[in-house]
Formats: sequence, C-alpha cells, structure tokens
Amino acid sequence: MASSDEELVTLSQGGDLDSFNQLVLRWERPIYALAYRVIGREEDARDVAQETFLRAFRALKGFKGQAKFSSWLYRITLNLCRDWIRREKRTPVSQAPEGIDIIELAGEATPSESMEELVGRRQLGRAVSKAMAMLPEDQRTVIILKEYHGLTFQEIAELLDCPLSTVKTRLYQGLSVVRKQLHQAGVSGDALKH
Amino acid sequence: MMCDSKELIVGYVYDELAIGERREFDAHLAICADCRLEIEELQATRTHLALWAPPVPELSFRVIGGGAPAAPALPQQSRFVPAFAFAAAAVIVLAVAAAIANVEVRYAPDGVTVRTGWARSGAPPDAQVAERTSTGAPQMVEASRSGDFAALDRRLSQIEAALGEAPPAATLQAASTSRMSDAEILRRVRQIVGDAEARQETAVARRMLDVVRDFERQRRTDVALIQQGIGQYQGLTNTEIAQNRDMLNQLVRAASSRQEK
Repeated sequence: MASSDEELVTLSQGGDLDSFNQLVLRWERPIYALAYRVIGREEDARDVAQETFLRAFRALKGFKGQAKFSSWLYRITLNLCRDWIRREKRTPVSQAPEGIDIIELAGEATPSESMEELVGRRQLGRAVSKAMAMLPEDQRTVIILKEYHGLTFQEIAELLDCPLSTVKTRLYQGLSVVRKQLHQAGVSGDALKH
Repeated sequence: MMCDSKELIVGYVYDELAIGERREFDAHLAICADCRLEIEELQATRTHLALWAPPVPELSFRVIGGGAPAAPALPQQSRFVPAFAFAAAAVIVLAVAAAIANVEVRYAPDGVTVRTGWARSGAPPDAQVAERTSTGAPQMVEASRSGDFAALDRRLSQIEAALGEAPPAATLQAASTSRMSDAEILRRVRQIVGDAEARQETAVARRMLDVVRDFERQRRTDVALIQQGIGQYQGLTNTEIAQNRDMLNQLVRAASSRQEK
C-alpha cells in the first residue's frame, strides 16, 4: 500500500531521501502541468518544476503540515511562476506546435474517435490555450487551480491568501472571458457534440 | 436577485453549493431562462477547457545527495552546474597543470627550446643542462634559477645540520635516533623529488625534440620543393625570353634588309 504524502513528508524530514523522491515522483507531473499552464513555456515550466522541488526540499524542516503538502507545493510553484512572469515582463504565451503529428495524434485517439474528430479536438485545445493566455494572471490562476487541479474554493482562497468571494468572482470573470474568446474564435458551445 | 449572484452561479457550476443553496437555486433555474442559458454556457466552456492538455515531457526529477534535508548545502549540491562553471574549472585545472608542469617555450637563434618540470630549481637532467650551455638568453634565466636552487639547497643543508646537532644529554638516545630519522627522510624526499623531476623533464624534452626534429625535416623538404618549383618557373621564363629575343632579331633583320633594297 502506498504511503500517504504526510507519511512520506515525515520520513523525509527525518532525512530519508528516498521518501522525498517518492513525493517528487508523485507530484512532478501536476507541478509541471501547473507551471506550464501558468507560464506557457515547456522549458521554463520544467525549470520552475525542478526549482519547486529543490525549494521544497530545502524548506522541508519548516513544513509543519498546516496545509496539505500538495497545496504547499502549489504555493511554491505559483510564487516561482509569478517571479518568472515579472522577470520576463510578459504575459504567458500560448505555445502550440506548428504542425500536427499524425502518429502522435493516433496514440491519443480514443477507440471511438475518428482522426477528424481528434484533429478538431487538438484545434479546440489550441484555441483554449490562446484564450487562457489572454486572461489576467489572477483569473487564469484560479481557473487552472479549479479546473485542472480540482482544488476547492476554500483551498484556492487559502493558497492565494484572498477571500472566498474573490476566488468565485475571479473564476466567474475568467470563465466569461474564455467563453467570449472561444466564441470569437468560432468555437461554438456544441463544438464537441457529434 | 439570484440572477445577479455570480458566486451562486459559479458555486452551482462547480457543485460547491450547500444543500439548501442548491435546492433554492434549482428552483430558481426552473423559472429563469437567462440563468439556465448562462449555466449551460459556462458548463460548455468547462468542457472546452478540459481539452487543453500540457505536453508530456520526460521529467524524472530526483534530489540526490545524502544527509538531512534541512542541511542548507544539500540543495546547492543538487543543483545543475552551469556550463561556465565547468569551463572555469577546466581553466583552473589547466592553469594548475601548467604551473606544475612549468612548461617553458623559448625561441633562440639555434632553434626552439621547450622545457617542463615542476620545481625546476631542483637537480637538472642532462637534457636541460645541454640546453643551458648551448643557448644565450636562457642561460641567464637558468643561472638565476640555479641560484634559487643553490639557496634552497643551502637552506635544506642548514635544516639538516640543525637537526644533526648533538642534543642535550637529557634527551640523548631517543632524540638522536629521531633526528637521524628526520634527516634521512629529508634526504630521501629530496632524492625522490629530484629523480621524478629528472624523469619527467627528460621524457618531455625528448618528445619535444622529436617534434622539433620532425618539424625541421618537413620544413627543409618544403623549402626544397619550393625552390625546385621556382627553378622550373624561372627556366620556363628564360626560354620564353630567348624565343622573344630571337623573334625580335629576325624582325629587325628583315626590316633592315628591306631598307637596303
């Protein structure tokens, strides 16, 4: 049976490097995905994810478990992303490949999905990426944490140090902007209905 | 009123309303087409958002190194070392190696002289001695180094003499044995250092002499080839000049014979 985050954290705090590396293995992909969606660049997202774990390792003794380990990691990641955005003085980019790799696409296809549907899904994903890149950082962050990481409103509020109502407002505003952007890009509400 | 509450709408879309709130909002939706439409559109937007997938890179991060995580130096050790650090390290290593090898390249009228060996003020090998006596300017440098070596030698002798002096009677036998031992060690260390240096310098000098010899041989061959080429070119040119001269003489002769007629 796999150990919980809390158990692994306790072992890591006692100097067990393997336990910490188990935590890294468990969380590296969500942390990378968070960084990628916030800053939009693969290589920079990788650097941010790596730095997140190094900082977490360094500060592990000071982690008292008030929040979940994952929330703590998210906070470190978001701080690093914020630093990156300030340092680069630019908004996140919507990084999309130029061409479409048919072989790669075929690997992603669900058994009932045709190639046309798959290409359409890819294009929709790209449109979403562009729409998200246009959002202000605070709205984008809330949507990412809610949509892709499944945090509750309360967890997001604690993570971002803001009132619950602010989280909901940002979420509503952000979703509304994305909806308009997708509409302007020609993505209709029933684009996925076949 | 419910239509204006964005918090309620968002709470409903993400299913985070309290049971009472949800029941109340459901009742509102039954009579409010605008709110129903808005909820539908937000849910469609959420469906679209799900299509945005990040790339799937090979990550496999690992923190390496031992010790407790609180140790501040550990994460630093775990960092990736930038390329310039490797370059700087390489430069330092090269500098140290050059300093140890003490490579010296000199150009003199009689050829190239290359010397190496750490602590060159030590006992010189045969090859080095030969170079000193056969060159001009290097002799001065070597003379001063010989002076350094002599000074060092004197200093070592003084230390040995001091160590070899008779001790007070109270410390007699054991101390005497110890002093002899130290002096012997010192002599042996000097001998080992001198031998190692001699071997190193001789080997490198031989290698460099071979290189210089090969270089000189190749240079002479090249010069001979160039001279041969120039000679051929000059031969061709002289032939052409002679032909032109003959042609000109013939013309002059023809012209003067016409004038005579």
